[in-house]
Amino acid sequence: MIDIKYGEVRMKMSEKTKMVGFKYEGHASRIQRMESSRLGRVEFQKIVSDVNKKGRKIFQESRLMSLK
Amino acid sequence: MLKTDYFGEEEVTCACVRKKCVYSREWDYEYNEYHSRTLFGFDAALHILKGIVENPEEKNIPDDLKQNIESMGGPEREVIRGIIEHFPLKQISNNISRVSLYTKKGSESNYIGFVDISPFGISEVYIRPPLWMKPPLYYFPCERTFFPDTALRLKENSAEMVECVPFIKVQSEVAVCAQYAVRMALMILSQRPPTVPEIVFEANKTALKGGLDRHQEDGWYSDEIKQAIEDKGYGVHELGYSEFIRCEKCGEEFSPNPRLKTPNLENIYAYVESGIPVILGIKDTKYLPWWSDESEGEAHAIVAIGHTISDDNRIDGLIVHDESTYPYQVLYDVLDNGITIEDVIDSAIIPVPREVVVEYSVAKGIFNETMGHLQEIGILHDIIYRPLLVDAHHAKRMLGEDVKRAGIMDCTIPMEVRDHFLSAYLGRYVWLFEMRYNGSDDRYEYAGDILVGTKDPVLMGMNIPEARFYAYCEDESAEELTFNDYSDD
Repeated sequence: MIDIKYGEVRMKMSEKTKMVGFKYEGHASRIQRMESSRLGRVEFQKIVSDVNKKGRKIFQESRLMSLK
Repeated sequence: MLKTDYFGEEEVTCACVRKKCVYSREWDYEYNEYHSRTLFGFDAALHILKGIVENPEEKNIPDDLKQNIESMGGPEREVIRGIIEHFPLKQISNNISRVSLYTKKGSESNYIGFVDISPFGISEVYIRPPLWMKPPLYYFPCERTFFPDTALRLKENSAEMVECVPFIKVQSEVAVCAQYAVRMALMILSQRPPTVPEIVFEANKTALKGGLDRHQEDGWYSDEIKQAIEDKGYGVHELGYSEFIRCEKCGEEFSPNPRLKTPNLENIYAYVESGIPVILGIKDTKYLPWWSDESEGEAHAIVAIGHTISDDNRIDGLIVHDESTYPYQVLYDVLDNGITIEDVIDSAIIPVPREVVVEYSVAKGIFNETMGHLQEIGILHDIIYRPLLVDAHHAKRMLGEDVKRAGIMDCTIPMEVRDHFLSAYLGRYVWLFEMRYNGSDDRYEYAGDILVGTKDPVLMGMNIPEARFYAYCEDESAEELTFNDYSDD
């Protein structure tokens, strides 16, 4: 599909290769398979609140390291 | 016969004509005593070319090119040696201040950029990346379209443009690398970067401040680089290694989170992918593959301007400009001798818009937390994420307008979701984590977006099609995100 020679490029570019990123390897061990509809808005707000609390903690730590 | 844009044909030899030109005055033969001189950059490139032709087996070049050169007969080699020997720019006239470069294929010539020459040698270079450095394996998010300075254009309306990342060439002196790395980064970000005399003056001023006894070979330190960037109106994010932090009150020492500030590939990639150049502090030039083995290793500064992609779709290196040697060099995440990029890079300094206070590593922490919770409800497994620092306008285009996203098969966001994101509050800039599933065909499947603020370390919104909900911030004073489900229509 891709044939690259030094000083010369011949290719049929795949759309997929245009955008890359990193594979997320996260908290898979804590998975509890449940229907997402079972989570109400209150639960989502709690998630956001938890995430923001953690975010502020990391941010403070980061600022502290920047100011050292 | 050598032609230049400004001076016309090289055959003009009258000294009176030369003196009329303001650009030639500084390096007129009265100052330099010679009409022509050798330029280090051209000379070095020709020297390398000569070495490749004569001893291809000893050079680090692609195998197919090596085979082509080895299969050349004696007469062919002789022709190439002759061209190198009589290359028109080997000895360059003192009255030439710009050399425009073209490649020629048949009768068609292709403009590839220009090189400006100062009294001290090659200065600014606006040149397209090498022909082989093309997508899908090489990306230049910092590339812009540059128009050569009109003052040096002979004809009106002869607009030229170069799609490139500007490069500055300095003689191989390490001491000035940080100053020129800062200038290169600012040239990418700003239409009006500091001039060479301005940045040199600034460097002298900071180096001499307080009467410090400073060795001539010492370049700018990281705090001085940061100060120079901040003076130009940018904020600074910094990555580096630190062993501990000491409390100023009680003197207690504690170890910070080592992942937060590590200058690893991902932490650097996030900025480069957003079009922001990253100034890299290199521990020792001996690690850099394009530096000669004979040179004595020293600390150095280079600028990351793009990244590479491996055959299996992995980000596997950075493309850098090295002002002491060459533009468009590749620093792979694992070098030939097994050393990783993290062993090579000591620190990274990133100029960002002042409003961007939240660093990528913090935004990534928030993204990780959010993903952890979302995966607990059984969604978003095996996703690929692409972080981007974008302004609110860009983010709203991605989420609020029906734009096609490169590489993604189907990114149809329902109208009601788009409407809400168009009117949502995002702040001036936002960290946008674009998520995709690795589909079986040649495109990705859109999995959603998570937005993290740059002024405050908080979630600013998300769109999760798999769970059929989205969340956004209605206005600046809103204390909570507004969650909505997708309508059934």
